[in-house]
Amino acid sequence: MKCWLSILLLVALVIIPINAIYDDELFRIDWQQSQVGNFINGPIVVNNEIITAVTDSKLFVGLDKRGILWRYDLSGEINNSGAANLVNFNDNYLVLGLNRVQGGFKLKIFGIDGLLVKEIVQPGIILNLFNLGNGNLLVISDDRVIMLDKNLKIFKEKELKFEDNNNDIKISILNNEELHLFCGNEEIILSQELELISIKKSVFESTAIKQIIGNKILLNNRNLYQFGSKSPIHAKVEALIDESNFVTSAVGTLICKSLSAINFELDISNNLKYDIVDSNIILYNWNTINVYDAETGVELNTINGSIPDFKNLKKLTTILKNDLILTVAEYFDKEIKLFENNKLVWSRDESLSNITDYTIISEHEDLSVATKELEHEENSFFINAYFYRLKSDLLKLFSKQNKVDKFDDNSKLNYFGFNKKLIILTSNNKLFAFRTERNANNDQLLWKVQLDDVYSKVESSNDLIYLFSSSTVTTVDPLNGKVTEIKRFDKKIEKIMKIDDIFYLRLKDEQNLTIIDQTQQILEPEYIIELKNNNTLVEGSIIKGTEQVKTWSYEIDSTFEEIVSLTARQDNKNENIASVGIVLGDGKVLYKYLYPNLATLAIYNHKEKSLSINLINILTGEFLFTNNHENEEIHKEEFNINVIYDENFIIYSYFSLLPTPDQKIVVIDMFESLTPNVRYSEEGRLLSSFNETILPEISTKSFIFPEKIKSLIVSRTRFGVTTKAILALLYNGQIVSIPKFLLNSRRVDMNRDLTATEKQEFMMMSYNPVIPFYDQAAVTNLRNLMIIENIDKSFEELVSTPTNLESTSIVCSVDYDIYCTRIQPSLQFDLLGNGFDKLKLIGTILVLCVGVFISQPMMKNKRLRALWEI
Amino acid sequence: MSYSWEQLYENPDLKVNQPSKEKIIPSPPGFSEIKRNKNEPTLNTIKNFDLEKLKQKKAWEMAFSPAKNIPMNLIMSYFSPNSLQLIPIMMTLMLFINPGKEIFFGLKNLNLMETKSSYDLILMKACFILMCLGNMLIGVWKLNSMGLIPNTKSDWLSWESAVKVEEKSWLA
Repeated sequence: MKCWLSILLLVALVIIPINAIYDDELFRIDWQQSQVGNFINGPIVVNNEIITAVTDSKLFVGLDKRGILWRYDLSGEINNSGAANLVNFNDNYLVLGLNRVQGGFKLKIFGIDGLLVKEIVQPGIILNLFNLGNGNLLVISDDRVIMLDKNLKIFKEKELKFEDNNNDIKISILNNEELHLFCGNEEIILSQELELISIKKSVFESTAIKQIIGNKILLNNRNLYQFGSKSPIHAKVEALIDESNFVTSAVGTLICKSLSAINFELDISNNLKYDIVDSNIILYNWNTINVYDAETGVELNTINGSIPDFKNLKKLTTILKNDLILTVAEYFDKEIKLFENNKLVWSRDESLSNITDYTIISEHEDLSVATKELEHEENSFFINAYFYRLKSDLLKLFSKQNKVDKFDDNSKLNYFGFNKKLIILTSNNKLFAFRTERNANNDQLLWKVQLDDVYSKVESSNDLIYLFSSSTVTTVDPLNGKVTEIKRFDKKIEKIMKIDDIFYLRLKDEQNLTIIDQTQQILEPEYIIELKNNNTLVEGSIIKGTEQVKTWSYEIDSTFEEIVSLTARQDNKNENIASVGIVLGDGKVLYKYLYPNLATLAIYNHKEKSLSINLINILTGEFLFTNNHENEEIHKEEFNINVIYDENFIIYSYFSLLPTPDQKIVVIDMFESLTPNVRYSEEGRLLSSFNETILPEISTKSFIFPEKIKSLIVSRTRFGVTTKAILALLYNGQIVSIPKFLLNSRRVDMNRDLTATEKQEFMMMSYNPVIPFYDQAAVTNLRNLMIIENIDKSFEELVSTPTNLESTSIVCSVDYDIYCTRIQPSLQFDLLGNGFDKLKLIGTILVLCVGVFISQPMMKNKRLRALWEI
Repeated sequence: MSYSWEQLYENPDLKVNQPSKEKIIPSPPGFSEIKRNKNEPTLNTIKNFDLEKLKQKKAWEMAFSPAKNIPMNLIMSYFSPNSLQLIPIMMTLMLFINPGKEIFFGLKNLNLMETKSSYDLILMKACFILMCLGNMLIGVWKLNSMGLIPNTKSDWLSWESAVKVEEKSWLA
């Protein structure tokens, strides 16, 4: 009996801690949502399969049935107008004409595989590009026309001044002879040799041209023109239901035909859409797609079914490939869908290319049972507590309820607290919820909703999503995205403050603050620090009930100075501090400076290109210390200045030209005293930040990072025990993790070796100004995130959220692309590795138990014989 | 004059006066008789005296026996690694377990000894314990070099709490 009990106990003890996940999760734990933006030039179809376009995000993109093929960021090259011209050049090249920031225009010539072949820079402003069809490309700038041959060389040039530089020049080539250029109300006719034939007044403005189809011009007002005759008006398209209801007649003249004649059913409430590809007209009806020969009017193909959400359609682009009809549908709500014979291939919601705000919300966990168990254990004798724990664990192991199913992803994710939702609000008022943990089907989107109001901020509190517009606060259920409550205010919301998970609103012309949930109110006074007057004023105030009283303020010289960052320490109550000191090699302690209620204020001076980092007391406005960077030529405009304040350290990054043009990272470690074993702060007594905050003793060092940093955060874990990692989003589209022990201001002088005691200290090393960029540091691994420069965002691009496992933190990057992964800064110390052989271990224990079971009677027998001296 | 054994049995004092055999039987030629001094101890007394001394000597040896291990333990402890691995830990544990056992059993053995001087016995016991403690001290030294003795500030760091303040502040 005893033996069996011991076996049972042993097996139970081995099995209980094995409910873990494994570490072979590379490429299985992260996901990326890539955006392209909405098409503004194009789409142009190349080779009957590749859809290319220039988008409103200043990207040149290539898409096909599989998704994104390439994305080129043009934001550094293209000027503010953002306009670009894209043309398919003989199905071999894609020619992109753009007006440069530096002046002049540039022709970027890509192969159809998206690789850049050639760049041509010319003075002037580009107005249009036109593939003449005879192997030449016509480039029209504001003061001349240029012709490129098939070898991409300029072989003809003609000065031609366009009076109206409205960038809306329409071109048509007639009978392979004459070039008709419509600009404003002029029609310029050129020969193939670029000789001017004539200039005449056109009866319509070039902006009125809807489409030029061969030798016919369709205007927005449904008038139809044909070249080559003195009176170009041939027919007027009757407005039957829509301007696009036309097919060609057998005689080759584009005429309007009544819909009944085409003989298809028409739902009057829906519009018809058409597209013209080569010599085919594709007519999209609500229930069919018809392909007609443009010359003969013969119906070539019919496919049943229709493009969904027809009313919301903005543009249709068709690709005819053998019998397949590929349709790119652009919708007004920024959705782009690809259909193959009316079946959806992929769908992209490009609303996500303009994100207004985001938040992360954790799934609600019922911790009441766990709390009860803990209380019971704490109040019992330790042996009783152990057996109680053992009993409850065994019950959990064998009961179906509460069991963590290894094969059920959701149960595992909930168990470890990995299941969080990334809530994203877009500029076109859509709210998206993504699961942060990668789903096996790669389906990250949980739900999305279209909101009715214009919202500017999203926050989460008490398992609810709060959306803020100019005068309303809407509560959304994170489970399904349904609006649960809308609160309207008569006055405009000027400021939203989240204090202890309670939202305080400052309404215009209101003295007192308004609390969203009136039942919640903080009785104790709360101290606030905020930026005002376009980031030129820092103000401290106190909130008592709903009354806010200003206590101090600090104004900068706004002519030259700018506050680039105001960062407060997140852990106000010092709850997540694992250790109050740093242990030296000889066992002595350097006490960390952990006084709360402090903030860092970074001020940039545009005139002197200098930066000052200040530590201030939030309650009194007192400056505790200042670190100045002068004569370094800091460039704030091109590259972000990022500041982190956590625990006892401040880390900031900036790009400066002097002494060498590099990305610098400065670390300031603050201690109560730099003399070991000296602690000034009193333990066990509540201090006051008003008069009992001592000055820190500072150790600082600066480092050089080989890549430019866009955003910087600290990894957050549940109890703060795990070694901290500094996560940096780089301008090259990667996220890297730099351990804090590398960014240590106490690293010893590089000119000497470490002493024996220094070697004993955790990860102490010689100072080397260059932080190496090693492959293992790249959190994004092989992925590359699209970084579009010069986009002003009101939110931090990177976020780190703790999970239930101390070792693991979820990191999300919400920039142009959305990316989520998990990181383990101190490796997976609380997870079992894949190499853990559970079966072998249990097998060995069982074999040993059987051995004991067999040898025990033998041993007893032997002892008895020995007593009888047999 | 010689006495018969009966006479001697009845009157043992006669033995003294009985002429020695040597006198009766003449010594062989060339043999010179060594005259024994009367004050010299007899064989019996020599025997008794040696045993006591021997006992003492042995007891002292026993009392000092743990000292023999000290140099060896010192060398082994010095050369064994300070990392927390099975072998150094076992070796260090032995430095406590063995002297403990020795104190327990060694004192028992010393108690079994019949000596006339109780003063010596106490001294021996004290020496024995001291030597065992010497071995234990090596263990303590080893534990210290392994960092297992909480004698530095860092060992009590987990019990220290961070600064707590009354006021709470927020960045709005």
